[in-house]
Parts: sequence; structure tokens; C-alpha cells
Amino acid sequence: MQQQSLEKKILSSVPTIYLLGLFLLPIIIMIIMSFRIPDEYAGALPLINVSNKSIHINTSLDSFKFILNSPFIWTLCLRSLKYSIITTVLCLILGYPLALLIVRSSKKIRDLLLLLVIVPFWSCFLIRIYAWMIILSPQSVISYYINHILKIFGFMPVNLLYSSFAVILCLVYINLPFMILPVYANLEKHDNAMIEASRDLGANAIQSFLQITIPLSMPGILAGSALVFIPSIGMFVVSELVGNNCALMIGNLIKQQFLQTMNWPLGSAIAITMTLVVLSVSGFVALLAKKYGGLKYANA
Amino acid sequence: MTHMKKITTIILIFFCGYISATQNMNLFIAVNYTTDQMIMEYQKICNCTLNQTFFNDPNEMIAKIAAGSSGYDVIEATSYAVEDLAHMNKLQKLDKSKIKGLDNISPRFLSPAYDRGNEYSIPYAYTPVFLAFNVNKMKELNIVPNTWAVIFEPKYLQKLKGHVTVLASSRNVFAAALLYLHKNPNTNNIEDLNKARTLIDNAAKYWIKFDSDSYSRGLVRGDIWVSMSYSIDIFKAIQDVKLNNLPIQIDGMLQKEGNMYEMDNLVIPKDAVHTKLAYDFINVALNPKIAYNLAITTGSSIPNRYALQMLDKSLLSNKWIYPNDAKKNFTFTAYDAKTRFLVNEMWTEIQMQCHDN
Repeated sequence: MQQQSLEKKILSSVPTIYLLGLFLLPIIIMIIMSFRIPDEYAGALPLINVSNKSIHINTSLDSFKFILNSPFIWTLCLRSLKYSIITTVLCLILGYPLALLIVRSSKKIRDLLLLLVIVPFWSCFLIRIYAWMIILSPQSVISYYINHILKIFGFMPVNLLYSSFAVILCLVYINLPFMILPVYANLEKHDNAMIEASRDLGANAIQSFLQITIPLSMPGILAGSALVFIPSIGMFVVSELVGNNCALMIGNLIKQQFLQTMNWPLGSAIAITMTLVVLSVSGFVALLAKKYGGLKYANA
Repeated sequence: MTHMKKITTIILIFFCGYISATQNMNLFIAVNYTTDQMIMEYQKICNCTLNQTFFNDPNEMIAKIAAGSSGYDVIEATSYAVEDLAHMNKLQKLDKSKIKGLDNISPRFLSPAYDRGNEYSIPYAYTPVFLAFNVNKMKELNIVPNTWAVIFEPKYLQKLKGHVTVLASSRNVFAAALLYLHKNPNTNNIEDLNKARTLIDNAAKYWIKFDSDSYSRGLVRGDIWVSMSYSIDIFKAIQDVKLNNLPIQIDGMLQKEGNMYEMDNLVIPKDAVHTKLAYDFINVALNPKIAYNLAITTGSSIPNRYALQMLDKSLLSNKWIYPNDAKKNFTFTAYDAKTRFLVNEMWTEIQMQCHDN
């Protein structure tokens, strides 16, 4: 028995060290960086300055003060939250029925559909965004017909590319599989007898869907939502490529602080602030879910 | 047994090849800034492999080097980047005795303000920054983009709203604004920079994007009508249009208030491992034939006077590739620390604010 636990420890030590080294350490470095003073070019002044036998520690709260006093940072933060929430909801609305369809299909078709969900992963996501840039460009067939129809009804032509619409569309496109797969994995485990029982007891299709299937699939929905919400909030490539000035997200600002304006302490401070915001939003949602019973079913 | 021998031989050959080819020269350079001929010629001479790493923006390069990124043997650095890197003590002083062909460079590009005596840098190529445009649209709207007013004045911008991009480069956008205001584009004067900022803020709501990567595709597609551009991007865009017979006409034009050009240089970082290979590369780049090839394939403007003699008249007479009015063409010098910090802060706000009210 003891030997087995030793083996377990040895086996689990590799991923633990990996996580500690590659996850915890950077976060600690980032937290320390956010309190440091930016250097003239890039990076930060030395944390500890030893001169004339006196030790001086170079830290400041300037970066956090700057964040508190910069409304545009909060605008970006709120916009990122808004985009991620919209993306999560749209992914759920589109992904859930698809997951249900896959589960209810025959074995052969099911495998094919699952494969189709995974196919986009075979090519680099940057290339797929470039494809969308072509699809959405004003010269594309889609833009042409949309603007043609708008013209008939007397509306001004719209620009699909370089807009918040394009950013959300691409965010949904990229994240959709991350919603479908966990929901599918959950739905697949459902016991059909439950539905049959509810139908026997007089529930109609909608009732048994709302009262049996949805509550039972809550863990899948939550997992999918977390997988979509958290990465999309920090995404910067999509908004950089298909968005305009009014569709930039907090990730763009952080990237800019590191690569263009080279104020690493400020970049780190913004990243940490954002992490705290995401954590509190996710925590709040998890609390809500617990309160309204989603997790109760999950544990059952 | 014979199988065993065969396999061993193959492995041995493989190994020998591997050992002799382990010499790698690591080059850190902007996108689309080398040619196949240059790479082949260089690899033949040095008997090594050329590894290229690319960057999009000089500041991105400085950030990476400042962060301690090492392992590069040669870096391509624009004028103010040479100054910044030298100031950070990241560059080697060049040993001129190892450089052959420095006198191939036109004297006017030698010993520049940002590196007197070429202590650290060797001129490589330059790219003017100007307005590129959709020819038919400009005719239709009756606009001649020979002034920076086209991207700064509402009079023009109202007609162009949503179809204008400027480079995602603080130095270039500020320089254009300062030139338009008839100020020194490299100024450290806070008052002038504030005036430039006000001008940029008022114009930004008409610009669709700050973009240094994909604006030329926008021009080719037809949704971008005017863009602040680098010459090499427009050269390539025009090539693409011709190659694919696209029904669009793109051209560039210098602005009467003056233009910047990004003067790019080769430098050797202090921690370079393969110094000999680095000098070899610089010598290949100085070779007129190689420089000529760079000029005709990428559209880069070259400072190599012997290569210029080989160039076709049509390319040489292209004003936005080879601007000939020295009084109106400027290169960047580095900001002092205080200005850099201030401009960076302004730039963050300019770029990140939504001006679409």
C-alpha cells in the first residue's frame, strides 16, 4: 500500500514540478514586476540597490495608481468582459444544440460530426483568422449582398471587417469547439432512462429538456463556459487583426506595454488587475451556479 | 550484418553532416528584408546555416534585446534603435579591418547622426514612409495626397472616413504630425509634442486602424483608400496587383511637408557567439550584386552606390523609393529618456482610445 502511494508521488511529482515551475513562478515574477520601477529602456530598475553601504529597495505603486486614474484602461477592461460574455453566451447557444445533435446521432454520423468539430484545429488559428478577413472584406460576396440588401431598404452600407462585429464573430468561431466538446462529453453520459421516466410521468419534450437534460448537463455547460470565457478575455490577436480602434481588448494594451512602449511594470500590473477581475467574475458565477443548484446535480 | 553496416554508415554520414553543419548564424531582422540570393550566397561563403528570426516593429526588437534575449549574431536595427542599443551597452564596436566594402556605401549615408563614425552600425537599406493610395478613389474624390493634411485635416478625412490607416508606430505617426506642423520630427520639445498629440487625437476618429502589418492587403482589396506606408510594403502590393491582374491601381506619393525614412543598419550584439560569421554576413550585404538584388526583389532603397549604378532608371526615378530632396527627408534620432516615456504614455492612450463617438 505504502509503495503504491510512493509510486503515485513519484508519478505526480513531474506534473507538479512542471506546474510550479511554469505556472506559479511566472505569476510570482509578474506580481513582483508590477511593483517595480520601469527602467529607461525596458524592464525595470534593479529591485535592490546596494550603494554606499546602504540598501535601497526600488518599488512603487505607480503602476497601480496609473491604472486607477486611467479611465481608458477600465473601458478596455469592461469591453473585454463584454466581448467575452457575449462570446460565451453565443457559443453556448450555438454549441449546445450541436452537442445534443451529435449525442443523439447514430454511431457512424456521431464520429463524423465530432471529427468535423475538431477539423479546424488542424490548421493554425492565425490562418483561419486571415480567411475570415477575406470573407468579411468589403469586396467579398457576403459583404456585397449584405450591403445590397441594406441599400434596398435604404440603409447605409456597413463595414463588416475592422469592427466589433468581426471581433465577436471570430472569437465565437475560434472558441466554439471548446464549448461543444465538454458539453458533448457530459451529454454522452446521460442515462436515457431519466428522459423516458420523465416522459412516462407526463412531461412533454420541452419540460423534460428543461428539467432533466439542462440541469444534468450543468457541469458541462460550466466547464465549456470557463474554457471559452477565460481564454477569450485575454485574446489580443483577433482584435488586432479584425477589429478597429473601438474593438481593442485588454490583451492588446498588455501586449503594447511589453512590446511597444516597454513599460513592463505597468503591463504586469494591468495583467494582474485583469486576472483579479476574471477570478472574481468566475467566482461569482460559480457561487451563483452553486446557489441555484447546478452543482448539486453535478455532484449527484 | 551487411544491413547493420549500411545503417551504421548512414548514421555516421548523417552525424558527420550534422557536425559540419552545426555552425548557425542567427540573424534578427525585419520581415521581408532578405533575399534568397543573399542567403544562398552567404551560406556558400560561410559554410553555415543562416537562421532568420523576424520582427515587425523596431520597438519590438529593442524590447526583446533589452529583456536579455541573446544568441543573435547580427541584428538589423533602425537608426534610433542603434542609438538605444548602443546606449544600453548591447552592441559591439565594429572592427573595420574585418569589413570589406564599406566604401561601397554612398558617403551621405556614412557616419550618420545616430552613430558617428559608424562605430556600431553599417547601413543596410532604408524605407521611406509616405502616403500610399487607391488611384481611382483619389480621382473620384478629387484629392491629391501630396500633403499630410490628407490624414490630419477633417476637410479631407470626412470624405475618407473609415478607409484610412496609419502605421502602428508611435515614431512615424508623431513624426508625420510634427512635419505637418512644420516642426522638427525628432523634437524633444514637450509643447510641440503636445500640439502633435492634439492633431492626432482629432484625426484618429477618422482612421480605421493603426496598422503596420496588413494595411497593404487592405489597399489591394480596395477597402483602404489612403494609408501611411512603408515603401517596401507598397512595392510588394503593386507587384501583387500586377501579378494577379487585379482591377485596382495603387500608388505612393511623398508629402510636401517632408517625409521620414527608416534607415536600417546591421549591428553585432555584444553577446554574439559567431562573430566571424557575423562579419561575413555584413560583407555579403555590402556586396553591390547582393544589394542590387535586394533592391529589385524587395523594393528596399539601398545606400550602396555601385549597386545603384546597376539599377533600372524606372526604379531609380521612383520618388517614394529614392527621394532626392535631402532637405525634406529625415531619419529618426533617439528621444531622450523623459521624452520617450512621455510619448509612450501618449501613444498608449492614442492607440487604445475609441475615438468613434
